[in-house]
Order: sequence, then structure tokens, then C-alpha cells
Amino acid sequence: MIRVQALRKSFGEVTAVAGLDLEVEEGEILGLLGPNGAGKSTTIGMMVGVVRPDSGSIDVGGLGPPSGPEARQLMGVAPQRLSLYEELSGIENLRFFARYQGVSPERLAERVAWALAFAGLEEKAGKRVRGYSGGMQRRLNLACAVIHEPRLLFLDEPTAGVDPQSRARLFDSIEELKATGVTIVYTTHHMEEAERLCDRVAIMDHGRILDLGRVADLIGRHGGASRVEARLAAAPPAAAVAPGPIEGDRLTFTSNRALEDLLALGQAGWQLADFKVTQPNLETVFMELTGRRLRD
Amino acid sequence: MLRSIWILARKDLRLLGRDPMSLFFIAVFPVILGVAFGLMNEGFADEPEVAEAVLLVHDADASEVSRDFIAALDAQAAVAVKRVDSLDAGRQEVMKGRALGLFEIVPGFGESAGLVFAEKAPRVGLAIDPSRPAEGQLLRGAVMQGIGDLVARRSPLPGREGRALELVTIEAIALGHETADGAPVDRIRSGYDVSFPSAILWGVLGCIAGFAISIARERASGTFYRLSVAPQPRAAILLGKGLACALTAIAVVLFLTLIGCALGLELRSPFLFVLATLGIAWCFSGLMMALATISRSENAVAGAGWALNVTMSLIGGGMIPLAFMPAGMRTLSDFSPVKWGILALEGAIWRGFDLVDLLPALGVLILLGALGYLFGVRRLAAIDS
Ligand SMILES: Nc1ncnc2c1ncn2[C@@H]1O[C@H](COP(=O)(O)OP(=O)(O)OP(=O)(O)O)[C@@H](O)[C@H]1O
Ligand SMILES: [Mg+2]
Repeated sequence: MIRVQALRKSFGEVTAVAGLDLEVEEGEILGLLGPNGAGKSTTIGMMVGVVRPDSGSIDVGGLGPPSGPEARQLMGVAPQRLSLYEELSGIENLRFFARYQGVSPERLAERVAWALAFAGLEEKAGKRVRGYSGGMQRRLNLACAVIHEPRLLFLDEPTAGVDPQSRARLFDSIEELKATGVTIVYTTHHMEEAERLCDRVAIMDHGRILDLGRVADLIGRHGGASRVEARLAAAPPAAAVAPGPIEGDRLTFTSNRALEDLLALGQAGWQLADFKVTQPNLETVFMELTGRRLRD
Repeated sequence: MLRSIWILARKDLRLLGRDPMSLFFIAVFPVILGVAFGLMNEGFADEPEVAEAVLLVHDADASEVSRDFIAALDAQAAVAVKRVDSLDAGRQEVMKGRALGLFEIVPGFGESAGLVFAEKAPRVGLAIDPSRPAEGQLLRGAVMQGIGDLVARRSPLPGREGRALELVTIEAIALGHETADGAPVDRIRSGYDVSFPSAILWGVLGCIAGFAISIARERASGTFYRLSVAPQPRAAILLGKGLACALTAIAVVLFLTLIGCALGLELRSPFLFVLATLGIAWCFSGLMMALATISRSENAVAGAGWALNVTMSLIGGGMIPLAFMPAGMRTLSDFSPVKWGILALEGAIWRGFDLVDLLPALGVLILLGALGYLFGVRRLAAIDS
């Protein structure tokens, strides 16, 4: 659906995107996961034709670069910054963007009604956007991006600054879109979002993709072992060999077979008050790939 | 393309309608200015230092005395005399702003002027460009002084010099508006004729500041981004703003003119007024484009807009009448679209321009507007949004 090759972009001294190759399949949700400043928004900006690449090529649906009118017909974008007219009401924003993005006058009313329901804003439709909560604005930001039924959708941190409830609503909306076959490029620095929504995830840092694949595959490749933390109810049995360091009453170790190891400890006479097994996730993958946490 | 420009413009007009602050500067503030300066117009009595004023002289007497008198006038520092063949030609020149005043010497002047014991005080006529009343006072003073000198020469009696007034009757020459029966009206105009063209330009300047800021705001918030991705030509975004700005400027001109008319302003040529209005709308919406794209920061654009408006207005005669400016600065004013806008409006409202007279002002407005549009669109295309 969109293919990106050797894409580069610098802003003065800062290299925002440093040679990026990417191919997004029709109908999938591809996540760009990376910390602040990784170059996610710049990548999206180039893919939608708003930021001019220094070099590299982009092809949208076989129609050429995103600046072409046919290519743009396919695309919708929900920018990271809320892109709404605050002094217009929700319904006025929707009507305006619908018209401007090419919804025909005959379909306008139907599409606007759909978008209001999609964003759950029927009751606030006539109120100015300035008075909306952060979650409502985010939802409207998304609705404006899809009102003209794009086949290729770019969502740049669509859940930034919303509470868990609104976030769950947004997830539902995005899954609803996916069910209709829309291809989605989704940026985030929340690994849970990427794990829940994305078919494939590209781990990004410093303007590069470090690895790309299905979440399970990425974890398999870079996640390593599970991490076990146990609290001891009594001192370790004499002559026992600890599988990891003990600090006070805390024992921690890593393992690929955590349950078996814990059982073995019990048989060897260890008394555990409590334990926790943390399976590797995208956070671990990111740490493994960059040596840093996703969010500091 | 046209449809998308119209969709954008309509949105901007709606946004403007919800921005009380901008509306104030576009519509209310200029009315206050226009009325206040209209009321004050009579009161300008200071005698500023001004460049030589052109005084047209029609000498129907053509006597030695009148020739001497004219030569003496010309010799005065503040006055440059130019002869005209007919009173009518002189009227036209003054109305079109090419001369400050018109002085008429009627036959018989040479026989009686300056002679204390003449049976009848001779009559002279004087007309002054109504938009420059203060300078007019200077001119009046110069004429009086000329007559005083004449008295001193022809009737050298001690103690008589100061009484020139009694010895000559200065009559006002009607310049412009004619009443229904064809007789010239003596007081040709209300102070609002002069104050409203500048006030209108202030309204238009308010317009360009407001719209330039709104472009910067759209770039700073993400709406410009979203519009850029839509399947419409990128230039439509700017042209939509331009259209909204031009429409607002037209509305401002009409609105203020209506208020002016209610107060006594009279429109001499509706046709030229329409041309002037369109020229102004085009020019200033173009300048708005250029201004809007100099920076993506709303504050920077607001600051630059303020500086630009004040400068254009200052050198263009929107703040201080051109008449009060030193000659050098008045030359500079040719670069200010405000001057040409005011002149075009004055031409249509009371100067009695015909199409040919309007063309220079219209030409400058069209040219500057085109440069603005060109600069804005090219600059926007050259940068990442
Ligand atoms: N218009 C710009 N001018 C200058 N530098 C920029 C510009 N846009 C981005 N950058 C820089 O490029 C780098 C990548 O920025 P980008 O916004 O693409 O990151 P991001 O992954 O979207 O981050 P975030 O999670 O904070 O949104 C950053 O260092 C940023 O400062
Ligand atoms: Mg970003």
C-alpha cells in the first residue's frame, strides 16, 4: 500500500530520519514504536507529502509520490498536534474537512452523522471545540481524518493526552476501521498500544528502524528470558545454590522456563512468600535493541 | 479548485465572525477614527513646516499690478506659483490633488488694489484643497501678506499695513460638488470626506493583520497540515485565505463608506469607487499573503504585521496627513500602498477623478497586490509546512 525506500531528512544539524525502508501491506496496522524524537512524526510527514524528504522515494498504492492528487485521494491523517478549528463546533469542523477532503454534497450529511457517532460526539456536536475535553478533541481529530473514507490512514500518536477510558474508546474505533480493510500506519511510544493494535511493529530510534516484525517474533528475537522476582519467607536452605542475586529477602533471576525453576526451588527447600514473573515484551525488546527504556 | 477556495474562504469568514477582537479592529476602531478625525478636521490650525505649496493663479486682470503681485507671491518661500488659463482648469487641478490652491484675480484688480481711497475694494478668489486645510491657512496668509505689501507700496501711509483685510475681499471659489440646479456649493465638503478614506484604510490594515495571523495560526496548529494532505492543490489554501481577506476588505470599505455617507460624505463616482475598492481588496490581500508567510510563528507574524501596518500608514498618510510631512518623507510615501489606496478612494469620493486620473493609483495597487500573492505562494511552496 505504501513503500518507502532509503528515506532521509535532516533539519539543520539534526538528522530526524536517517535512511528508512518500509513497506506497509494492504489492510494491516503497522506500528512505528519509538521514544520522543525518534523520527516518527517526520516519517509520517514525508509519507503524507507534507515534509519534503532530502532523499529517498515513496510510493503510495502504486500511484507515485504522496504529493500527487490521486495518491492524496487515498490518504487520511490524524496529526500528532490536534488539527481542529477551536472556534468552530465539532460538526462544523467535520463538515468543513469533509467538503475540503472531497466528500460530495449528496453524501455530506450521511458522512457527518457517521463521523459524529464514530467519535461519540453526537451530544456535543454543536458546541465549540475549545470547550471539549482532551479525549473528545482526540476523537474528533481522528474522525476528521476518516470522514472521507481514506484507504490509507496515518495516525500520529492518536491517544496522546487522553484518559484510559477515552483511550479504550479510541482503540475500539481503530479496530472498527481496521475491520473495514483500511491500512493504518500508527505511531506511539506506548508499547501496550503497539502490542494490542498492530499487526507488525517497527522499532524506531534515532531516525532508523532497528527491527520490524510481528510482536511475538520481535519478542522471540530480542526479548530474551522471563524475569523472576521472589520474596523469601525464610533464609535460603543451607548449601543451596541461588539462581540469581539475593538482596535482603529478594531473589531475582532470569529464565526461559520460569515455572519449572520455581518448582525446583520449592523442592530444594526454599520458602517463597511471593513471586512475580515478568515475560519479555516490547519494552524489553526496545531495551535490548537500544540499551534504553522507551520512556524515561 | 474554485470550489475548494470558496470552502476555505467561507470557513475563514465564519471564524472571523467569532473573533470579537479582530472584528473590533476591522470594523469598530476605524469608525471611531473616521468620526473623530472628521470632527477634528476643522481644528488643524498649527503651522507646520511644509514643502513649497503649488498655488495656481488665474490672472484675468493681466495688468502690471497683478503681474507684480503674482511675482511677489511667487517670491515667498512657502509658495510656488503656476499660471492656469481658465478657472475651470485650475479647479480640476486642485480637486485632483495636483495643486494646493487656486487664486483668481478678477479684472479691475490693477486699478484699485492696494489703493486706500479706491471706491470699491477689489475682489479676489481663493480655493484650497479641502484635504489640506492647515496648509491652506498658510496660503491664505501668503495672499494676505502680498496684499499688505501692495498696500504699503501703493498707499504708503503709516499705520495702514495691518489693514489689508479691509482693502480686498477674498472670496471662496467653489471647487467641487454642484447642487441640483448647477450652482456650485460654497462649502464643498464635510470633514468626513477627508477622514473616512484614511479610516477605511485603517480597517483594511486591521483585516490584513487578522488574516495573516490566522495563516500563521493554522501553520502552528495542525490544521494547515491536514489541509495540505487533502487532495486539493496546495495553493488553494492560500488563495482561500486571500479570498476571505479580500471579501472582508470589501465589506469594510462598504461598511465604513455607508457610515460616512450617513454622516454627510458624498460619493461622486460610484463606478470609480467600485474600482478603487476592488483595487484595495486585491492589493492588501496580496500583502497579507506575503506577510503571513514570513514566519511560522504567530507572534512573529503579529509583530511584523504591526510594524508593517504602522510603517505603511505612517509614510502613506494614514496617520499624519501627507501635507504635514517633510518633502523627503512625502516622496517615500509613493512606496506606501496606503497612500495609493487613500488617493483612489478620495478620487472616487470627492476629487472628481475620471478613469484616467485613477489609473496610476489603481496600477500601483494591482502591482503591489500581485507581488504579494506571488511572494506568498512561492514562499509557501518552498518550505515544509
Ligand atoms: N520542523 C523541524 N525543525 C527542526 N527540527 C525538527 C523539526 N521536526 C522535527 N525535528 C527534529 O527531528 C527529530 C525527530 O522529530 P520527530 O517529531 O519526527 O520525532 P517523534 O518520533 O515524532 O517524537 P515525538 O514522540 O516526540 O513526537 C527531533 O530531534 C526533532 O527535534
Ligand atoms: Mg511525533
